[in-house]
Amino acid sequence: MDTQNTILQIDHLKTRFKVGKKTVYAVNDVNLSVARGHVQGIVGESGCGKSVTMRTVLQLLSPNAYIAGGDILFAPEPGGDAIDLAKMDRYGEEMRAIRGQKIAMIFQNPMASLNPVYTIGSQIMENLLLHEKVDKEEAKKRIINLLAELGIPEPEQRYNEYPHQFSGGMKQRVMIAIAMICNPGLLIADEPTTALDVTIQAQILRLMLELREHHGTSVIIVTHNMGIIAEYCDDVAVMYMGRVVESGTVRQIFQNPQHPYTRALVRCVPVPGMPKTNDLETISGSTPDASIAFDHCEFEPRCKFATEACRKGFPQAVECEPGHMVSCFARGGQS
Amino acid sequence: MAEEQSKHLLEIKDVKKYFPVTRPGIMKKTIGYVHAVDGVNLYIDEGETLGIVGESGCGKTTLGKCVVHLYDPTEGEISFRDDGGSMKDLSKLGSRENMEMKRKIQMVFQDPYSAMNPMKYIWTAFDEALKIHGVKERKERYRIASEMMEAVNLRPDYLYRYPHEFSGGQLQRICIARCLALNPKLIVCDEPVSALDVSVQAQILNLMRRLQKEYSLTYIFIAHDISVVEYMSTRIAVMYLGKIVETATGENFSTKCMHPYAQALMSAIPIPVPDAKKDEVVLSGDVPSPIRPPKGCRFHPRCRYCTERCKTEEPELVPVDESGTHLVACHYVREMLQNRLQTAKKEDSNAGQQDETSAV
Repeated sequence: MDTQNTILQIDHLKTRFKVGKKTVYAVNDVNLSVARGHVQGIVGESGCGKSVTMRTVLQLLSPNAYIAGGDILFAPEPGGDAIDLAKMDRYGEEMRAIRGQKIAMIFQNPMASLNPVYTIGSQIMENLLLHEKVDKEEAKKRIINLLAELGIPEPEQRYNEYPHQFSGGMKQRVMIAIAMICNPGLLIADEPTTALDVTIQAQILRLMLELREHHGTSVIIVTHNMGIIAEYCDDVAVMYMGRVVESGTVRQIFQNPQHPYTRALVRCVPVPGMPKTNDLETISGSTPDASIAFDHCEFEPRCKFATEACRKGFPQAVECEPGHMVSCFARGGQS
Repeated sequence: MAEEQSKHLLEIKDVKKYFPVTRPGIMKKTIGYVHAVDGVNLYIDEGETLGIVGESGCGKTTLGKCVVHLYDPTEGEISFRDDGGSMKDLSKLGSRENMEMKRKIQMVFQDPYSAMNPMKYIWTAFDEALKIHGVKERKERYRIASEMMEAVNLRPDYLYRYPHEFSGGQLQRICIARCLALNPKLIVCDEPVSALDVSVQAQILNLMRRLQKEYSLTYIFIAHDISVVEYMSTRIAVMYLGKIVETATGENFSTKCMHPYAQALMSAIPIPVPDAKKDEVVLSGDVPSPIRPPKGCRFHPRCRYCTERCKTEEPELVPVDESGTHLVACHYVREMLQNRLQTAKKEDSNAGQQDETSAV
């Protein structure tokens, strides 16, 4: 792994859930690398395993989940050694030192992520005091500075207020403050704006780009909105049924999509100014049940271009242009 | 004038809907009102799709519910054209006429799972609606229901299944079929695709467009996703804090809108095209409370062009083009229009010069 340019590399990751006697194959063989200082987008429909992949990175999984194989290599320092997060004990000291300090996460619903009975100041302070040896006076100063940087007006006063006194967008800013107070190298945002209005969404996403500029944080944005990917990300990975089917830069994916799923995904959203006479492109059928293990390409049942070869195994990723990986038999993939 | 009016299928005149805010306790004293819809004027022609966009809390759903008569407006009137061609105020109908109007105006809700009773077969939803609206024979009701299921590309035997057995997209199609079973004229679609995945969303949108042609329906399409609204609508209205700030035809709405709020909304919506050229307008702050809406122009606390006049005087909707379909509620719309014309002229002359130089 090239730790100079890559901050996180996920190799052949598999995450499963035990539900009664069934096994849910949530993540099947995810390969992904996040470039240092870049904004990486992960896009896919609901149930494609994008959130579970990100939770596996931080080992924030429910007790019935387990990692069935693969590596999660994380390199906090450029040029330094990479550590394998997948091998760590979920409740261990090491993992806890990374979680919240080196890698931080923002969740979809800020209302559910903040504790209603503590002031927001004390909730941000908790994370800071846990990971760094600072006295409370200095901690408070740092928090107020950060709140001001995040665009919260009157931070000294807001510091002592409770979550219910904040609007949705402001709560999400507080969540970002909790995540950013230890200056993490990697910030994972799992659908950070799905619960917010579009004008607030634009504010929050712009803010995350600013943080990347000022702190050099690498950001992963998980979303189902192709618009957010096109506008705010540098690189994209498209996921389907627990697999990355295509990855590359935003331009490569939108202007030259190779995988049939990506093509359909790019074309099924209306774009302002498009002719109204055309029907939108659709993907027939719906996503299959994740509790049944596939023995061949998961997209084959819905794919217009499926052939006999597609039923015989999984296509390996091939590089169709520099940095643009695609997993499809029709694009030269081998099983 | 009277002839012109009768063209419209539905007319909304100065409609206001206020919800009382009560003080907690036994006395429940009213201490204020949520001004959810505050003086809206709109009309809908037969066969068109009127898109309504706005942020959450702007009153678009309340307006939709007033149209289907789930709420009685506090003030104003909503009139619908009946078969004879005369406009009738929905709130002043006798009970029989009221039933007939309710049949003609149907609604599709945002979350299909909460729109269906989880304890009952899908068939019950059809059965009940048809029974209420006077289809007496069970055989006939079943025939209509299965016909409608086929119209939305589902098998008729799915009628004897429960809502949880369907995916979100399928269930939304069932909700649309249930509306169609009553042979309505107008369907109010309240965020029909925002709970669905993008690939399913496209299926529903295509279906809705096909049904509109087949059954000559009129839609009111309420959504916050401007790309979807622009694709679906022949006319678009932008709402902010209970008021319409701009209406215009759907063609290229995102480039021709004039109101500062509409522009900001358009620029805030991410477009799935990399390097799309956009004017960067980021709104600061949040939507003010509709309990105490700002005086003057409601948008003034967040507007970048705000002046003293905006803080005191409320702007009216004024037409900005010859046909009178493009209406904007802003004091400075004329200045903006002139600016736009000037920049267009400049661009034209620049382009002309370039042509000349390239010709040389």
